[in-house]
Amino acid sequence: MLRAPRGRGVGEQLAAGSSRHRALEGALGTRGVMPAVAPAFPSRLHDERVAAILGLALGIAFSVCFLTGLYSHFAQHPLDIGFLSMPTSPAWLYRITQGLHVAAGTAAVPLLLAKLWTIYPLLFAEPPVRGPAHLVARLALIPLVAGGIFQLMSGLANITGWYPWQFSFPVAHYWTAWILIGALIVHIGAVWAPARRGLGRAARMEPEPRGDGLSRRGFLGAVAAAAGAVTILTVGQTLRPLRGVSLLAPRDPAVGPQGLPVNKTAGGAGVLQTARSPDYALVVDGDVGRPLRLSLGELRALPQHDADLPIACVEGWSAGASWSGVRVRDLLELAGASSVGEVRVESLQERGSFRASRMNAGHAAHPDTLLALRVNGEELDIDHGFPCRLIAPNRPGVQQTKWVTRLEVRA
Amino acid sequence: MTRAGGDTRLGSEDDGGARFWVCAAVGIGVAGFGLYGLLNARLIGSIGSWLTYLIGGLLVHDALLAPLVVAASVMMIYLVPSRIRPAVQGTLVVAGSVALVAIPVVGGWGRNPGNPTLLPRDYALGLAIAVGVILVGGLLTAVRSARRPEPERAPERPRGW
Repeated sequence: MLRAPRGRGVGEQLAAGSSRHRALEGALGTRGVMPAVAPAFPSRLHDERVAAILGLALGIAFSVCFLTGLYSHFAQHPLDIGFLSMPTSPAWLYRITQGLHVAAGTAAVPLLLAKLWTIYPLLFAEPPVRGPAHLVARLALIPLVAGGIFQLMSGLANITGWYPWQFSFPVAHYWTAWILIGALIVHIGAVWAPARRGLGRAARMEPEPRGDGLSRRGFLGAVAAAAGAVTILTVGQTLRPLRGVSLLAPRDPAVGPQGLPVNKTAGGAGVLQTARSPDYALVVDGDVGRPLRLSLGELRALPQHDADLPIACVEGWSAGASWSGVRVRDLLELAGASSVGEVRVESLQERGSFRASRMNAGHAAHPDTLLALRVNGEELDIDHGFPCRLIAPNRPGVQQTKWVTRLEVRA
Repeated sequence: MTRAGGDTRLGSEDDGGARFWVCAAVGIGVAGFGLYGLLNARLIGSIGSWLTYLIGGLLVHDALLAPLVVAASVMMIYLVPSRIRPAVQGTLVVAGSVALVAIPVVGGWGRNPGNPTLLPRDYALGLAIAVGVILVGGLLTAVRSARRPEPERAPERPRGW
């Protein structure tokens, strides 16, 4: 015979004259089970353990998104402070973190909806506010739920290049993440006790409540299947072996000129003429002994090196390729740069936030950091940055500047 | 354990205590940093547009999507026989999630004629295939549950889940 984890059964207590609320509390060991609203939500799935398990999964997904997002933010706004400088190794790090960022956010969509559905009755809790702590906890739900929905919705739109709004996506997505994580910390403080109960042994050993429809276990299984389905259907944009089944991925890592996707086209960047101009030259200047001005022919005549490096885009797709070209450190040496400092890499592109990028000393000195002239054995397509583009290990795609026309060394 | 039919099994939040107030102080600090950063970001563009989408998303969920799902769940009690209801519900959870995630790619509002590498697939077809596979899976599950002999009473679930 199965017994309540503590106290007498509800039936016994009701028979002994307890109120229904009190009897449930005795049986379940929880405070504040909601007798007033409960009959409006008959499903047995509005359950503390279901909420706790979904909450834990969602908390992990949001934390992964937050940490990988922070990493991506500082990769695009590089710090050059000792150990905080972006590392050059492993070369695939950004590919993994940003792939995870987008995949975890996508998988969080069914988790968030299931979690909100599970706890939806609490929205109508009576009394609405029980005290100052309850008030703070409930107010924190506004940025938590609104922020969660906003981050997932804006992220999913962004990876398809869809911007129906008038704010800057990267700026809003970054700062809203801090608001969301702050609200999540308040929420964790508020639900610590019920979450621990829900995840604990007593709740786990309790038998499945009677009822029709999905069981709690079946519901969690369906939500896990939904998270798995949306992942498989999209993650092939970075996990190449899955590209055949990723029917809903915004990118296919094999589709594009020379088998590589493109984010900014030459037409979009307005460099169709300048990139093909016979007057093209690469300038190396700044804090150097002998400023250089090299034509494309002179670049081709310099020693060429190969590097197998991925293009890993902030939108979550990635594709590996074999690049060959001139080492940046060779160019800096040729120009007589006394010590390799930070380098500003400038594009022919005249407008736009990514027309130039900064490269820290570690990246500039790395032997795999190239001004690539060729990819996969062919001269670069103009959409990949002809005449030459930067390619360096462990940098976001937007920092792998295309149509490079100037390297400016900064002391 | 007997259960009073219909009551939800949701415990309430903590009503205070040191742990809550420490988390609240840290969390409000972190969120405040985010709000300060947002309001002072040079390149944010329209704050009003940000607020519209932030609150709009919340309202679309709480006032539209959630009530619709609740209404659909209630209708299902009357329309779908209880033996196959779990299969139908599970199928809808999976297919609904996939359809929701597919909205931006199927809509294709971000498509750029200058860049065919963005949104290169036929996503309506992809969604149809994905939902088709999910429906077949759901159908097989439903057939299996319908064929299972009716137990005299709901079976005791194994302990632990």
